Amino acid sequence: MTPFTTSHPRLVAALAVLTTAALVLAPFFVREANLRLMIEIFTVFTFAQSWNFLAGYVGLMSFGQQLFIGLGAYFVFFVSNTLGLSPFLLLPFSFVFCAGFAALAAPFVFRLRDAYFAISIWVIAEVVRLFISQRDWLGSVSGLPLVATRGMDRSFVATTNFYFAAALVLISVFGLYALSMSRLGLALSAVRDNEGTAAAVGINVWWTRFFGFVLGCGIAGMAGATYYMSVFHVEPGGAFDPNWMVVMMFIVIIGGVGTIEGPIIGTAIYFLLRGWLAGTGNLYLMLLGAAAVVVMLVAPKGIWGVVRTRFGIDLFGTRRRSPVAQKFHQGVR
Amino acid sequence: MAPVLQVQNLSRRFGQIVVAHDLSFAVAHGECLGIIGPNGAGKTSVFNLLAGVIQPQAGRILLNGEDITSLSQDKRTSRGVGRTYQVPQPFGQLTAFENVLTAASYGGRLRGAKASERAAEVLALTGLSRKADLPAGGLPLLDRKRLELARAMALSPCLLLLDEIAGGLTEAEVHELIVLILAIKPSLAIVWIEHITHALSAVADRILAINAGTRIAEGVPAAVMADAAVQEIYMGAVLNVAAVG
Repeated sequence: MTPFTTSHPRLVAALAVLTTAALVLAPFFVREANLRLMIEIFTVFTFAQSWNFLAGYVGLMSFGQQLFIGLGAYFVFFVSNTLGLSPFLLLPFSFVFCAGFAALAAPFVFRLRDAYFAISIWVIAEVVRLFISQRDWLGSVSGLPLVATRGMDRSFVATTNFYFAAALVLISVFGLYALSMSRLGLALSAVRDNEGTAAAVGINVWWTRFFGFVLGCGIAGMAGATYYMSVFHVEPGGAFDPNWMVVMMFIVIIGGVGTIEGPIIGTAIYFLLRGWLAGTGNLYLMLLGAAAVVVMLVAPKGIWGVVRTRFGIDLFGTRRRSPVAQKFHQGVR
Repeated sequence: MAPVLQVQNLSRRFGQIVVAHDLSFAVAHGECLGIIGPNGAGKTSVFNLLAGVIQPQAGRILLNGEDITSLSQDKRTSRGVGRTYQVPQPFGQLTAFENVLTAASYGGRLRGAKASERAAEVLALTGLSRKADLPAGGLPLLDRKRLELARAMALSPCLLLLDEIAGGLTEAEVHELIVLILAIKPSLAIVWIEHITHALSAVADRILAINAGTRIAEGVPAAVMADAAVQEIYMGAVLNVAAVG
């Protein structure tokens, strides 16, 4: 049986303070090129974490998370170019826009279950990609440039972008931790594990799932906008590319679904492999796939699952210990 | 004072299958109503109607005099309807404590430390304290059965629906369970579906026998067990099952 795991809220709070400090100071010590790489790593991590949140915490398996990456990016690019507003001001609204889109789609896609649900979001992503590809006012297939940042100082743009990416990392690590420790987090786990029983303990299953879906999609959208703002150009083929989904699933599956640590490890492995396999062309996607298959066969709970079981480390564990058992263990000591 | 549960002319059919036909019964505070009937008689479906999983096509359900027929399952739970499942349905990845805590903090409407205390209390009541921090999905059957009861009790319900809670337990465990249910009985109303009739007779004030969703007999346990129609249908069906098995 799984050994006791427990929560360390104080340790996590200390870690949150340290991480925040390190991220705030980073632009003063890191070169601009490395800052850009960090933005990419941070946003790709957030993509993966948003999918991990939906699959491992809410119990919704989506195959179309690239939909929100593209929507968030297009929202910021289009509104900024059209109204002449700063894209940095618009970034938080990309969350609102994507969350709103998810909220409107929810009543329809929630009628579908499991594989049908997963594919339905993919279908919507393809429809949106084709829609944008055929609209000249959205740049059609060649996409949109980001006009507003052209006149701005390069290092200002890189630093500001970095801070948004850093904020996303903090949200998707410590925000997710806080959410899973909350009463609402308990309801999300309950709905994920058994929706019939969740209703039988007084949880409104539909609204709980709705909240999780909207939140996860909004975060993916904001990360998508941040990612594409750092490359100054968005086009439908890239932003709505199903390969985003492959990357997210690779990171989450090899790291460990339903954990906070898993995607951190997965993201590190993904970027290391990508560095080593650069220049192998399409072969690199196949090698990523092969690595994911091996991990799934050897360790279905991912690398973090193995580490947690073997060494009993569970930094971001959210187990609520019972008062009775606490007394019991104090007695034993 | 109105009875805790009043069921009035409840009917529901799925095509040709009748799970409830013009069923009426009532249960008062401190009382236990047993429901018996052969397999497929519609017992669990009656619970699903009471809990709000399925909607009746006719009839009304009143809880403490208020009509709850159109309320969703989670709203009924918050008003005090607690249920256990025949096949235990825990939140598998959560611990036993977290399973019960979820019930205390949602349907039970308790916050923070009060919810934890209530959860610990019902785990102690059902003898699960030592296993409180183990994942519920890995618990053996008896403990998962106990967890069903603990989770329902954490809601502090006014109406408790027990679905074959004694099924699969040893004689000694059934006895323990009877003692436990007798202890909680004065504080709420119980409807108990059970095949283990001696357990039911020890606790229930009245027994309702149903077949094809229809009432066959109702009354004190001894009288219902002795009823000719009950013996023919209920025991007959049991013999048939035994012959097939």
